[in-house]
Amino acid sequence: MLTPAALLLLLLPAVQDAQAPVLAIRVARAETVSGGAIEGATILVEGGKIVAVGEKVPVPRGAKEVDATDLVAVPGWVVPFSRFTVSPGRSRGTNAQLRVMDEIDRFDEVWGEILRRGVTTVAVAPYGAGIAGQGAVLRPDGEAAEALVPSAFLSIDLALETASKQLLRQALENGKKEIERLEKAKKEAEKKAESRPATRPATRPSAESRPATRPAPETRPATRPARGPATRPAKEEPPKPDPKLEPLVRLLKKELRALVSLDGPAEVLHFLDAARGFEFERAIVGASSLHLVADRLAETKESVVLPPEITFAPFTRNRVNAAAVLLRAGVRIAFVPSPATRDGIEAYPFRVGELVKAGLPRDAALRAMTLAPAEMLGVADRVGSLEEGKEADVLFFDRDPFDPAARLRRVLLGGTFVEMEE
Amino acid sequence: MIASRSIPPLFALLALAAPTRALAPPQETRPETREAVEEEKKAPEKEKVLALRGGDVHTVTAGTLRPGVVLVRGKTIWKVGTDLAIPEDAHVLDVTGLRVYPGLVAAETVGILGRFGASDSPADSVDPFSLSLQLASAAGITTAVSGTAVAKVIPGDLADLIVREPAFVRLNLGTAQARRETREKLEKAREHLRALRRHEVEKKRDPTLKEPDKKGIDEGMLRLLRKEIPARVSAGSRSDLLPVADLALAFGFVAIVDGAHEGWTVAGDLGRAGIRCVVNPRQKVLPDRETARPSGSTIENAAILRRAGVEVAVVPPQRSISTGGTAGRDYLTFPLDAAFAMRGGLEADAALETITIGAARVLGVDDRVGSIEPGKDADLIVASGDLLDFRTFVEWTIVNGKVVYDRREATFFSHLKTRRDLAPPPEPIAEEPPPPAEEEGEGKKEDGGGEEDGSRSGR
Repeated sequence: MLTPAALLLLLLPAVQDAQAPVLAIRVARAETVSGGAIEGATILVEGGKIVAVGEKVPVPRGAKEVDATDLVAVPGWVVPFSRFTVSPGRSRGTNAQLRVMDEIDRFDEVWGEILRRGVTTVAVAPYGAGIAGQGAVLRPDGEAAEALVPSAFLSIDLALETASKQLLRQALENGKKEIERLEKAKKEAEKKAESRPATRPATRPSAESRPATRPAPETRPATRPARGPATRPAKEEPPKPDPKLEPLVRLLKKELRALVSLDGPAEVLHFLDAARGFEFERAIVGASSLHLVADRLAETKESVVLPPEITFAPFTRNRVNAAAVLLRAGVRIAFVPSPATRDGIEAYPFRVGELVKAGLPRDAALRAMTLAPAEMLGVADRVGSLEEGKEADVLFFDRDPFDPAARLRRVLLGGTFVEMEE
Repeated sequence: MIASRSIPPLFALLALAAPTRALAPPQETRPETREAVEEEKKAPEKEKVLALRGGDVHTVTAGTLRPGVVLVRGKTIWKVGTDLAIPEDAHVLDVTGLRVYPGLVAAETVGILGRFGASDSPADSVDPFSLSLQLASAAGITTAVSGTAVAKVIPGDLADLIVREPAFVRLNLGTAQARRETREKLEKAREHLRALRRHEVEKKRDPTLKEPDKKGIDEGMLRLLRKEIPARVSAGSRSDLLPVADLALAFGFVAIVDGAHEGWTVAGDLGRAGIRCVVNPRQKVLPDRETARPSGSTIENAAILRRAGVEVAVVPPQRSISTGGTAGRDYLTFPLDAAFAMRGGLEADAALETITIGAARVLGVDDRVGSIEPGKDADLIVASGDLLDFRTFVEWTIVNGKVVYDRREATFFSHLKTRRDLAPPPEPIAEEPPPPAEEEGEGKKEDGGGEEDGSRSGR
């Protein structure tokens, strides 16, 4: 939905920031996630990006120094799955072409509220069962949520029903066929272009037999006036995928990833069964009792997004730390606040802390709130850790963030301090 | 393995002979050896042997070995015998004092496989973590019918689930009209098959001839008539059973009948028509006082049917697992229903068959499951005693060669103290003293004596 003009407008403040002085923030400890914890660190920020993090970072002259030596810095939370400002209610089907960016209310107050609670990157998925559509990754700026990646993933929601499993299988099959069709069409087009002498062009069949399939040459002339089309239709347009299948084509070409919502271990097995033979990048979202299939998830190196909860083993009152079990089995895990609302986010670090108490390694826990979800969303090159070149999204707590007494004092989003509620 | 190990020294020799090229050969060998190592890793996976040793093996089709050894390789039974060499790397399950049976076959179930009703194939709808499925496995059931599929009962897995699908065509022959309609469909299908055969002949003379039109022909009926799969019908009373037998004889298809409480009154007719019956021995239907002929149900139903040559599968009163707590009501205590058939005069061996190989024959899957024979699927259960004894527990359940249930670790039964846990089980009433025990050395013998003492004091 973003027009180029709007994009420009959004970029303007960032450009101004670039001229702002370098920011040097001194903290008690920086938990970089990617490079361990650094005591007495200085975080250097320039142009909205982190330039350096370290114990002995030379502060350039003219830099604006911020004393936060009583605070602990961690990367901003990356929430890998939410439905903020999206309205529910769409039936099951294959709706790969739908984009959640068309439904999001970018100006809702909720963005500012979750930002002040530490969320600096958030994925939003469309509602709907089956293949629900394309989700977006956003930065919840207080003024207006800004798309980091407008079409970041394909949201697949499978309730265990034959129809859903068959629907997924069918959709993937269709995507595969479409790729084959496109490649075939491309080859044929190349062949034609080679075999046809450039001087004697298309007065022959093409005009008559295939006018409908090629609207492109007709729309072109408007921008590039009329000297071309009659003499040079030989310049073939590359074949275009069916818009409904295009996201699936991108998925199977690994240009798009999938977030697959499943309910439980049985659904996971059925999903893995349906997806067998298709390679695509994906993360499994939200299922409970996944510890029962930890080995199977590790086998195919799945990523799992789960709420930070200690659950009951099915049909028992035995408590299970599913995150720890999965991690031990070799499954990549990321957390999603539960519920993914402003209140759920408020209690988020404390909830994760409960799992740390119950045996989840602390560094893995912090990673599962920051870098791991960023990796699963394909934005780890921009957010998720405190390291050089990444967006300056930093949270400042007055003690260990997992401590229930810890308070989030300041939030830095893209190098700018966010106004906090008092 | 030996070959790959011998390679490096060879190259070392070469290296000595040609020092200038000393580095090259090892580099080339590396991928080879790596592959070899990977192959080695894979190979045992494929050939992994599971050995059940020390228990009485009830093969069902080839007698009982006391004690015997069952070797499972991969997903199938490899060898069965009394004196088998167990491969060194085999995973050994010592089942001394226990009994090995084939996994139980449930000829009709509701809600054990599949969460969303019988219309979905288990392949797409089974919940291998559901309570009923786990309990069914704990009860020793390894194969179950759901909808028109015969499938394995595998807690926690979907692999190799389906045995046969569709395994039969379900027909409604409950009313006169339904019977007439079915007969018409069958006649049409038979006519079509005849036309096809004629066409085969005529085509040789005139290749341009078109194949007869398939329109309006019921595909299921064609499969029945070709004897690819049997029909499955619900019929209880004599007046419902005889038309099924008639139709099966007239059209030459095989029929499985569910219910058949008056089967005993027409057992001969059913036997002649090759009908297979799925019965619950305890089903109660009062006799019809209006008629002089025998009617109503009897506990002897299964025994009488068997004597008439009817293949019988026994099922419990409820085809589900309801976990309501009443013993002997559903699949939680499946073998008890075979024991009830014994109350009605069925021999113990025959009773065991009604929930194993007999049920498999009824369903037409006896080539895969139902008995302990080399080549068959490795679906086995290890029971603490006689399977038809009400005090017996299933200790292990094995499906497709994998242990899927282990009572010692299972959530629902591990805390229950059984006879076996409290005191070793009583020695089987010794018709003959088992000679191998004497040969096995003194340690074993002492164990045996101890067991006997224990059982006495236990009582």
